[in-house]
Amino acid sequence: MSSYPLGEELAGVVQKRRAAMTLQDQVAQLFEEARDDVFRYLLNLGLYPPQAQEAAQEVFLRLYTALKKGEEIQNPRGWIFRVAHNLGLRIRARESSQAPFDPDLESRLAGPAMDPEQNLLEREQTLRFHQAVQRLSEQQRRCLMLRLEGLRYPEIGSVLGISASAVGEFLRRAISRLKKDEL
Amino acid sequence: MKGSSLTLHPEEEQLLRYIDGELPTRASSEVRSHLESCWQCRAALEELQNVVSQCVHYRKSVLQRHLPTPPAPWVDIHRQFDEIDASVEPVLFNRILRLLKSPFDTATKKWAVAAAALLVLLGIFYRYRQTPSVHASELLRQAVVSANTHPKRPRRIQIRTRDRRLIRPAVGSQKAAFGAADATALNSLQAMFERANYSWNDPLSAQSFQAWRNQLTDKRDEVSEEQQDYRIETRTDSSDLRHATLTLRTADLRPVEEHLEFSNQEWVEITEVGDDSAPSLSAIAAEKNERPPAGKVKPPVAEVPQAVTARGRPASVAEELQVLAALHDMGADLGDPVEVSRSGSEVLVSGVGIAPARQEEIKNAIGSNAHVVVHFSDSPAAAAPAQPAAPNPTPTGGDVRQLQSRLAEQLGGRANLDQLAAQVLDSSESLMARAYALRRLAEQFPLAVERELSVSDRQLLQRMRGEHLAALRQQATGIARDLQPVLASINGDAGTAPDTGIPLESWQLATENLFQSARRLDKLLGVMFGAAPSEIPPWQISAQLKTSLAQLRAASDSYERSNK
Repeated sequence: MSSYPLGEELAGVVQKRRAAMTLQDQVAQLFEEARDDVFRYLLNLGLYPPQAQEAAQEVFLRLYTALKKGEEIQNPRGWIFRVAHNLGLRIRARESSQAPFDPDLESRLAGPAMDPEQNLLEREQTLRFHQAVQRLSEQQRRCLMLRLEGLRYPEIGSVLGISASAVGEFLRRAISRLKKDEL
Repeated sequence: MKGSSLTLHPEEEQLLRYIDGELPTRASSEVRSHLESCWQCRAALEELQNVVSQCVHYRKSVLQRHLPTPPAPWVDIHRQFDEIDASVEPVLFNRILRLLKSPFDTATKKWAVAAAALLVLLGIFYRYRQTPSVHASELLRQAVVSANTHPKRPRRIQIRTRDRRLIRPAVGSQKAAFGAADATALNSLQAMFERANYSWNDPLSAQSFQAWRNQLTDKRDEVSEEQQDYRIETRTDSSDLRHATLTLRTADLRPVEEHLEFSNQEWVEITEVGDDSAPSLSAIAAEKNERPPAGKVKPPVAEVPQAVTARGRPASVAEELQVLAALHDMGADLGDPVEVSRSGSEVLVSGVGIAPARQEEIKNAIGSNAHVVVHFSDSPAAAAPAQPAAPNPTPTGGDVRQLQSRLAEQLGGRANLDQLAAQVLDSSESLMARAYALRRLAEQFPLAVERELSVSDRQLLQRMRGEHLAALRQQATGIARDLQPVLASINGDAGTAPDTGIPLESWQLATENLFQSARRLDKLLGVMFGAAPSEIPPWQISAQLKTSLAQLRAASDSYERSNK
């Protein structure tokens, strides 16, 4: 046997590895960029920090698996949040006996040692805005949070299982309420 | 002025869509050119942008800074990827196979066999755990194995069809315990099953499903993983049974539910009743005549002529209507969470943030049709769509502020105004929910589609409209009553109803008029209580509100006329 076929095989392996590296690198880069956002999104869904972190990691592993299997994913960021959302709700459902995680941002914001650089007025404004966000309906808040994460209406719709036009309406209501509460 | 020429200025939602790049090109360029000419709308746009900026600031200064940070360092994701690669690529597996083929001593071989078996098990575990795309046949095989290894206990199944609900032992086909009508129904069901070559003796079992599936010359499978179960869906054109869905509990692969849809457009839903406890025959006898509770009785579905296509027949309008009616009867067609759409062979019911108990109710009410696909994203926290807290009316501009001060004075204080605002805005939200529901009906059942419906379905649709309208009217009356002290004391139009005069030929046409009137009222209320910006001079708001209420009354009158 000549060494030719072996050489070909090796080249194939190297090529494959290179392709795999590229995919790995791409997903790893996205992981670096978006993991904290996903983590925070999951906290907002009521997951406790350790669960949220684990779930966030799982989301990127699933993305990698899906891409590896040749699934075409147009917008990975939208995909990630959709999967994170579903996974988060599943985890919550499984542990529904436990109260959802509450980061208690309000007392953090109202607390004295919050941020020495911020003056009193700014702090009050921030707190007021936070309270206004809390007063939004759940759907309004979810639409707003996902929009803040850079998702387009159809993507938000597919995360929440509603139509893009419903997303538009929820966002309008959210913005409208925030504006009213803020002014 | 916006009040009299609402259509000329883009609505707030359009502006938001515009800055979000979500408007179609043409609408977008219309808004752009309007903005160039209209300072007011540019100012409104700027206000929107301001809120958007505040949201971004909020994300940065509150969410990013004050939410807890991850409790542990992030994993080395590359290593995890490598692990996935290793489990996906059968390198190791191949190596062991090669070992098996090579002339090694038997001890090595034994180890290799064990290792290979372990790998296969790991592989199966991995696939079951990670990916929903487990092959149907593989899953069925496992389920059959599991059924054979678990001790068999007598259990009961519920069989539901279009117009009947029966409970019988899971295995066996005796009809002794049933009345004449039910026995006849069972006979015709049995005949249907036999024509399809599907076991009537033990219909809710992986084995029966497998046996039926194995004999098909053409089939399309789909396997999905739900929260606590796997769902195997098989479609075919080579059997009288066209579309079968079997749900297996993830924990032990036990079949718990089955939807069967036949070529004569009949469907059968079989579910497990109760748990493993053995039922007494008397219990079965007592339940033999059980019927769905009165509220959930569904009128027979209209036979809409639909060609049976190669890919299964399309879901019919009547089916969509039945789903909507079921949702309507439980008040689930209002507000945010549940949406119904029809595409291809499916009526898709989707929703998010619905409490598990409510999901069950909804599924029970609608999930018995093989064409209906229910997809909920679960959220235990939300028993009902969270209502926003009482609004805190804050004026949007100097003039409106003056108006509000005056209102507060009239009402005996700011607190009273706040209370009124909360009450009225809540009513308006409920009213809008009805208006949206009516509009959805008009969109989903345009005249041409409605004509295809049977008489009873048309009556059902009419009943739903009637109920929405009645609720809408009630809210409108409530708003008018709540506002009475305020509107009565402000000079303005006496609130005479403008006579629309135009006889509206269909309820579909009347809907748009009603919807727009409701929306106008909602908007004006928002302006009055500082929930929305406006260019309407404050001294005109009350007058316009009166007119708007009257218009809504007129619109609902003419809707009612068209609904007869």
